[in-house]
Amino acid sequence: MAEPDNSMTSLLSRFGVDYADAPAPTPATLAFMRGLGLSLDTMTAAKDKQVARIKDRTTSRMGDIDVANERTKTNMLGDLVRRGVLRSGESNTRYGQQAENVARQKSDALRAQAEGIDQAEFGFNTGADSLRTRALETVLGAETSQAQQAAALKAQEDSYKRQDEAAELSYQRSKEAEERALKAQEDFLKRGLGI
Amino acid sequence: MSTNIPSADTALLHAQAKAGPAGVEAYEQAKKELAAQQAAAAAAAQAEAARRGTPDAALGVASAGLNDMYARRLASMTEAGALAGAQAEQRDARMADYSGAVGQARGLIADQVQQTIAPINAETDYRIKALTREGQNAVDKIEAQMRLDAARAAFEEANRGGRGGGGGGGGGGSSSKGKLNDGDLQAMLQSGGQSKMQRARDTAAAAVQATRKVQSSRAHTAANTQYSPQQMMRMGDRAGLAKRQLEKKESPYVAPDRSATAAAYGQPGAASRSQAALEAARRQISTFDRMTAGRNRAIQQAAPLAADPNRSMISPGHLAALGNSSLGALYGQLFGSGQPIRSAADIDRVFMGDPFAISPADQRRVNMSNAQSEWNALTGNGRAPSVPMPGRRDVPGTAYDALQEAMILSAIDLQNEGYDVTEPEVRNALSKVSGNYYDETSTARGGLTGQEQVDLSRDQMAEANKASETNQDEAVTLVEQEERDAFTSATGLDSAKYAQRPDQLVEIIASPTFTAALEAVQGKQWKNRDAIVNELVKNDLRLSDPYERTIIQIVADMMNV
Repeated sequence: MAEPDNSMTSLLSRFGVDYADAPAPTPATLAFMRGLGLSLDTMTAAKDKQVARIKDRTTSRMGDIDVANERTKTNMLGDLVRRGVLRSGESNTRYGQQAENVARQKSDALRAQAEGIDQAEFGFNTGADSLRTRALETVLGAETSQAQQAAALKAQEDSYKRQDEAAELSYQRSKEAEERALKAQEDFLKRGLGI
Repeated sequence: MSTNIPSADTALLHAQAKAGPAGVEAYEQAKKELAAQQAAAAAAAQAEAARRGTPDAALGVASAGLNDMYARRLASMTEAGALAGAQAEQRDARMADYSGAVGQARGLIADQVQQTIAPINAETDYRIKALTREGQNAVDKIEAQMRLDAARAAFEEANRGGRGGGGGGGGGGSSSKGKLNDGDLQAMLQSGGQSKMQRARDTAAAAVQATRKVQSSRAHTAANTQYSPQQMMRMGDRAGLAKRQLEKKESPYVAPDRSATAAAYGQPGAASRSQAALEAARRQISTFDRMTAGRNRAIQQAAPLAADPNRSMISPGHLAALGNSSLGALYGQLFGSGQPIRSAADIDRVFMGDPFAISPADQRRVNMSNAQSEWNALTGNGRAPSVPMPGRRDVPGTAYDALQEAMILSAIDLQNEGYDVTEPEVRNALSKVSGNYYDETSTARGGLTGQEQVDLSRDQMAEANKASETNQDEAVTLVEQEERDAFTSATGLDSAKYAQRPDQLVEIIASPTFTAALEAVQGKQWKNRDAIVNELVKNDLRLSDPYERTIIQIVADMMNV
């Protein structure tokens, strides 16, 4: 007995599809699955590139925020010293506000990075799900088609066999009847009877 | 703090932890970085405040606003991450549902497979039933013949027993057991030859007169009426038989009477009449299509009902109103040896959907999804057969479909039988099943409508049938009597004893096989009948062949053992 062909099941698992005892691959289904694999690879590469770009932009943004912060604090220090109010409530308030501004900008940048990565991931997963559904539909169609073809062939074969048997049976019966008739006619003839 | 910091939903956090995809991880990473920044920023603010000389007691105030802001952002980030996780989990759940549904759909493949093979199994059953019936029919025929033979033998045996005492005479002094031997037969042929020949001539003359009468009647009726193809063929057969008899090689055992018989058959004109009859039959078949006649008649009757806009299709009741015989005839003609139509239920079955009425094999012969293309491929052009039934033509299995398919099948059958269905006349007759177009064109040419033509043809046919049958019966009776006499003259046997027709018996004793068989046993002494039969079988005569079996029987009877 031939070993079951699990190549299609293995191929499907690559798409995250669990399909035990999948039908044997045909050239058309194999080509289709390879095409889906190619699409999946392309989507993965695009997502990775997008995430890297987001992270790079965030890093640049953080650096810009630090530079601007240092510049603002230098200007603020000069102003406070010139006016002789470095040790004052105003000084504390202005430094505190600057620190809050920096924190807000940095947290916004980090939030934007997280949202961007989440969005890229969401897009990728949506596309991958679409590929999975197409793979499932294709393999289900192939399984149905193959099962129908196999059953039709079997039914046709059975049909011929049954017809052959019926024809043979009819032939045997008529042959037996004919032999009985011949025997009877021979008997009549030997008895001198008209037939 | 006055700022309301939202706490993330537990379920969302659980979902986030469970899902753990890259989106959620990005939020987690951002939160870590934000927390690290918070600590660094708070420490830097306090250090800078201390360097500006801020008292220790006030250092906490320098980072208070900062911490509040970070706490709000961290809480918001936590909630966003949890939402992303929940979203991912929902998507996974949807995909899992879909996969489960696909798995369940696999269970339906078995039903699909059954639907695929159901027609094959149905057709197989149909064919096996047909094969079984054919086989049973053959066996029934053989057994019926056996019973007939047995009954005939029993009858003959009983008759022979009854005659035993008083019979046996009339054969001359040398006869024994009431049967003629070879010498008796030769003597009888010699002594009675003149009178037998005279009687045969008289009989032949009468037969010639009768035959002329029949031919005259046939010529008259053929000129004025239309015979059915079957009738014409039968006439042709008879004429052909006469011709064959004329051309037959003479047998030495039937020489005197056979010459008279041949003279009777061989009257001038017999051969040409046979040719004329055959030609007429051919013309009849090609120009007067029996299917078209029956079909036109049935559809003519169906058309008024079908044209009623309140009746979108012919119902079983309508069909019953048309008359079973006409529709039965229609289908009988359409399908030849197809299923006979004998009742309203049969008609319902044909028109209303029993798939076996038009067998699966027949159904496959026509692609009804594009009947027009099928029709064009057959006939070259023209409209496909149509029946004037308003509406509902899209419903499969209606009378419309059945009739249209039947018309196309009849065209295929006609083509297979050698007719040229591309001829305009034939094509027109087949395609205009409604009869309306036929009527219009026919009456425009001064001809009859389909119904009138059918009625006239039917009347003429009945009249011709009656005349022909009467004349033919008379002629056949005379000819058969002559053949019986010829057989008895030649063999001394009664032709009624044998199952074959008189013309077949004459043909048998005129055959070289019979001559050879008789020569093989003549002039020898035989112990019994079995010995003669065995000798003939040794001479390659077969009991299994009805023709040769009859030769054995006749020769054995003639030997009178």
